[in-house]
Amino acid sequence: MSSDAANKTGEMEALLREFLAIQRGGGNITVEEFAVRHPGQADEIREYFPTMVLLELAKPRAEDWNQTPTPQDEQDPTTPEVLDDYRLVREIGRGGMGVVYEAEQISLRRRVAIKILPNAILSSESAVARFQRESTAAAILHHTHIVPVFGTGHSRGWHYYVMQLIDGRGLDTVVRELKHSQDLKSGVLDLLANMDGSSSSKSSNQRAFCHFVARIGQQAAEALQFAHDHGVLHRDIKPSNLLLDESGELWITDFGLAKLDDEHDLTRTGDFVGTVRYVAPESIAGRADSRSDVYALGLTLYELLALRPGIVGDRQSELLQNALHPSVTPLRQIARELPTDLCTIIQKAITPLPGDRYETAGQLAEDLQRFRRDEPIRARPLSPIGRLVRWQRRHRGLAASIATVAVLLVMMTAGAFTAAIYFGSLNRRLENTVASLDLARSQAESRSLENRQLAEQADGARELSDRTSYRAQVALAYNRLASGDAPGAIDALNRALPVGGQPDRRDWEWFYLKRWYEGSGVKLERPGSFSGAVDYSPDGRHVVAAWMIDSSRDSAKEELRCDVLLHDASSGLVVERLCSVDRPIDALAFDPSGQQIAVAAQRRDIRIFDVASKEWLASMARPNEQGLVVRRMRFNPDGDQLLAMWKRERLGPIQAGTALLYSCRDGKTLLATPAKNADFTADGRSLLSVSRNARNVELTDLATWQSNPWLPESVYGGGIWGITASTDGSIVAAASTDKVLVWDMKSKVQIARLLIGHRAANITISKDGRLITVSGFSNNVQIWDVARRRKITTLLGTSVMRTTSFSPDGDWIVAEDAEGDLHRFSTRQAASGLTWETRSMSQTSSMSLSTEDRLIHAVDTDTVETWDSQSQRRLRKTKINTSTDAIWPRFDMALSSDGSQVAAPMSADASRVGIFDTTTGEVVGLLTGHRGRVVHVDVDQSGRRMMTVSADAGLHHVRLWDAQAFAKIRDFEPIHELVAATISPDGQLIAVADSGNKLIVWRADSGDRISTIDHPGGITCLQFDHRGERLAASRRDDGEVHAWDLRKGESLFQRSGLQTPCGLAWSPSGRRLAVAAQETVHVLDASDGEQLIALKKNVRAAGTLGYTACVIFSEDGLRIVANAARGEICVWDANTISGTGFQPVMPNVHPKIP
Amino acid sequence: MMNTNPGNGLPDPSEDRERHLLDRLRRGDETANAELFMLYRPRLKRMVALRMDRRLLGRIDESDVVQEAFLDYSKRATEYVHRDDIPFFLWVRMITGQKLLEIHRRHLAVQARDVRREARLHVGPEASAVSLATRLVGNFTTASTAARLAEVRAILQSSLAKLREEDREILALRHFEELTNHEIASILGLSDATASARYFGALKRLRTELTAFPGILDA
Repeated sequence: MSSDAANKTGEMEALLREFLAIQRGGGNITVEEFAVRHPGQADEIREYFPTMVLLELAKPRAEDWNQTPTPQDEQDPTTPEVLDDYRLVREIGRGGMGVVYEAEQISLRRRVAIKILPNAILSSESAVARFQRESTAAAILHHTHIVPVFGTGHSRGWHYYVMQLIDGRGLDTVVRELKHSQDLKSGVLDLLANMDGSSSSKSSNQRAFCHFVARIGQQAAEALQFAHDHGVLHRDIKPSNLLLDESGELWITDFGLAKLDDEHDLTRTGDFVGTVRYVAPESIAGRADSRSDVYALGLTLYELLALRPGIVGDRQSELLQNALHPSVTPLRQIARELPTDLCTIIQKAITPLPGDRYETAGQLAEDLQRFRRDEPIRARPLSPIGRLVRWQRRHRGLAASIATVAVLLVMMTAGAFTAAIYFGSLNRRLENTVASLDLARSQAESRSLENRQLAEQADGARELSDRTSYRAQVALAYNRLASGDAPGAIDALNRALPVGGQPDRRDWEWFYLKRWYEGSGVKLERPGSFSGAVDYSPDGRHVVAAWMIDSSRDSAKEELRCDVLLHDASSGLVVERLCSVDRPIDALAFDPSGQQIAVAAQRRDIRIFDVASKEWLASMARPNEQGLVVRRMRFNPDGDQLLAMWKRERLGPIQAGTALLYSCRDGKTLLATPAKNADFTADGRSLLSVSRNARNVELTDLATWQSNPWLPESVYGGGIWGITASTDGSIVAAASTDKVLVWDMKSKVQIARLLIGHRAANITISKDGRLITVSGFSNNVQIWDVARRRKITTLLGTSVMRTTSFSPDGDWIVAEDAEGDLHRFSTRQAASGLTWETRSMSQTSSMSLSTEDRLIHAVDTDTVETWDSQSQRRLRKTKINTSTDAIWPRFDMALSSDGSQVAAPMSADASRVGIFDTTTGEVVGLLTGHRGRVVHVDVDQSGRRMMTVSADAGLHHVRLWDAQAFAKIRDFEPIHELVAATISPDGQLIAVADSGNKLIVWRADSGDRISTIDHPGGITCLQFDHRGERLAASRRDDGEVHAWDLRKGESLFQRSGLQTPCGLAWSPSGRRLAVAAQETVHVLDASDGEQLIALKKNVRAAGTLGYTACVIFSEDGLRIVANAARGEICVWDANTISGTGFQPVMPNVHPKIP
Repeated sequence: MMNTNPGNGLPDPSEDRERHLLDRLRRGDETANAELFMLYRPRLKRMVALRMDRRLLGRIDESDVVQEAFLDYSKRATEYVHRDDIPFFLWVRMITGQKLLEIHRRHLAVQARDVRREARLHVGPEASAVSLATRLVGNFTTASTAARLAEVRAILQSSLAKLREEDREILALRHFEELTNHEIASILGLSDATASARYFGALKRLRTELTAFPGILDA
């Protein structure tokens, strides 16, 4: 660059600065005035400045940054001006397949149209090759109604396609214009009528228009036939690809381009929205032929006549579904005045099934010509029989949809629960399929009116589609909850509600998911971005949070504002704006009365805000040290002192800081002590602080100001980062390197070591000292149960090291999620289920629930334990003198349904069965006289009848007992190698499975064999339903569950693919079957065995040794209880937790058997 | 913007303030770290908004990108103490740009070895015509935006789209990201005079495009 030029730009820069300075300083100066002021550079100023001013004017403002703009069309617009021999003149259109320019062919000085293809489409070599092959094929099509292709080219990375330039418009434009302007319409009609050589009177307009449509339709169909004869399919016929030139002639353009996109998913981009509308169903399935082009042309003509698309839908999935299962409103219903014959022709062209359409485009052309000549057309309206046939075919499509859902559901259960991406795509596919099912159902409904025969089929189809749709919604809700999408989940649950006269399909799984949703937290209204400060009000009704507000919309000046807002805790809505600060707020704390709030804003003193008067009260000076922010604040119980932990403003490792204690009366600093962290003791009389070297905890008496080590240094191990005391005075918790240590406050005895696995940055104790939340840097918030030293849950998506705050009752916690939203989570029903360790029970083999389903009884090898499922505390442990020698899984122990007694072989003599009292462990009765050792014991629901099986030299003896008189009722025929046995809940039936693949059902009273069923062998467990009408069997090694209808003597379903299924439980409603598998409890639809939900046990170690997977339903059908492999008890509850008074009522609960 | 105050309501990031903080940093006072970064946070956010791929809109917030960049920055802050080849703001802008590229790669499976993009490290992802369009005309429904402005923006967007990438970039850097000529020169590795010349060249070509819309420049 010459120095002259450099000087010149330097000069210009200086002028630019001057001009902008004036403008920004509020001076109102125009470019012209400025130019006059600088006569030497006036020309340059006039040349450059207006453009610059425009850029300054149009530059995105603060408000623009903070909005999420709607995504725009994805097309790289930086195109060259010249491509080889062509100079681009102007853009004349664009679409999914590229941008069309008017261009000049330089050598021939002729005008052409050039279509530049998006690079994305020609991203692979094979795509380029195909493009060249296809466009070459298209170039050979010389037809009066096909836009001639001159050639293709490739230059500077651009692939293009040169065509004759047609002066005219696409039919899409024509439709749009006709639709929007009635005047225009009549004008066009006049024009068209003239063109057709007929009169232009108003009355004949419609007719003229129809004839016009028929004429261009015929031209297009002839052109298509010509192309088909030359082996070229168009594949993308749509209004925008049919051009109408100025003399009213039709031209088809873009031959051979659509195929380029074969490799692309039709649903991939928005570009295809327009195209999908015209694609034949078989094309979507990849089986396009010439009839697909006929279909697309038919829909194009339909749109021209109806002035609205045949296939509707705004959303892509919707559109795709509608295109796949077309249900086009008959033309005659839209416009009664249209000629019947023309409508019939169009309808025939757009029949969903290719076989029902015109076989060739030529036939369509011929019929259109016949219509124009008023000759009889060949197409016939479909007869009722035709419609029936069509319905059946449609029904097949429905069946296919249902099959799709079934496959998806199976895929979901195949253990692929890990990847969120997978969830996403699965959800989309489910959503799409659900959409098609909805459509199918509505079709089924409307069709059912046509006649009874159809109605019956439709009802069957509707039933099937409803049931499948319900399952899909449940699966969606589950997936969404699992991926943290609570609003999406409740939407899916709502969609599973019965509408109109539909049967209510909801059962356990729906209520369970509802409860999970309720526990997944309420999102607090988000007026800005969370600034990191939140606190629960002392009465638990409100949450106060600080939000950064973008105020630039209110005022011209872009300024920072942080609002302190009061939220209603249960709805999350903002109740009131308390105050605003002009900088981010780092910490907030309610005083014990809930009347005042301490507010710590960045680089500001702490101030106390009075909620009632809205006034700032005391102010508390920040420390002299620079760059400190308040990490947390706490009032003492009396509310007259405030403790603030000041730390360096820095993310990452925990910094040392200073604890300052202030008097709330005058704001004076009472104490300043260097500390890593500090907290009041429960009585507020002392201060616990962690020394800066993280080695010591000191206790400072706030009356005497004496400090002493609280515990000897050695107990803290690797260093302490944070400390906090529960307000009830019971415990003190400290965050250490990878664990949280908990001491009893009074005795200073360490009561828990919670291994959290990462460094805790922030710990909070619920006010009753029961729960501790732990949050760390980039780790989800964990909630731990202190007494049981186990993690209750991890709050998914809360990966921020930020404040958490408990409600006073400890039932709720507010935490920030990764999206920056604040959520209120329930700590009681955390996440999806409750699991606790029994420690003592590693070999549970029978379980029962009693006392209003609160107590869980479980029997281990030689003990019976009773647990309170609400507190998860063990109430009782009773030793029983049973045989410990058994084969696993073992079925020789049976608890009565109320848990009061357990029957099991005696330890001394396994041929005798003892009935033990589970409270005392005493033997209250003996069943004696068995031949050989007892290997199987079962009891009916009332506890009156029992069944035992003893093994003796390869033969198994089945015996029925009066369980109250301890007397034998009868023996049954001996079975060779019995593998499973059970008694029905009412004690009337006994079922056994032998190794010879026979399943035998006896009537208990008579000993008659009432049923013999062949089975595939390997049965592990048998279970009658509550009425004794159905029998389910698990086949552990084959991973299958079977069910039979005993009255009809036929199989109900056979479900495979389960992982070692063992215990079975029918729901009281009889509509669900729970299957206990290795790591999962599967809840199946009892009518067809389809899975509704899979409940994951919290299994830490897999293994089947000494493990009998059990599962039970509570009597009200609201809870499922199962055991996991290492002595854990898992409870999944469908009872409501929100306390709003809503109680789910399970449908058709079978009355308890007396 | 030519002066150094972006007028965002935060403390004036005057050179004095920056120098003072840098001095503290050099003396080993790490608390200056965050303050330094905060000085430029609004501008960084703007840069991210301008260059974030439109496909990520609604999925990723600009603040998150800046926040992530801050984490990188805080790991490397002391590194800057020993550098004098690049102004501090441009250095954090570069870190933020790299973070954004990384996020693009992560979310859009953009080829990590795209040479063209590697070469752009100092600029960040390009302010493509599409991302500009999104920012310029994506919000025309905003009530606060007058119809006239919406029109100007639409015209400007289509005209910018016709420019070469280099031209669009330099205009975006200058007017939308509000970098000074000196800063731009530093990013692009040019002399001040060359950067300035390029800028005026771009302005001129934009003017040519705008002549297709009579009256637009008369305002």
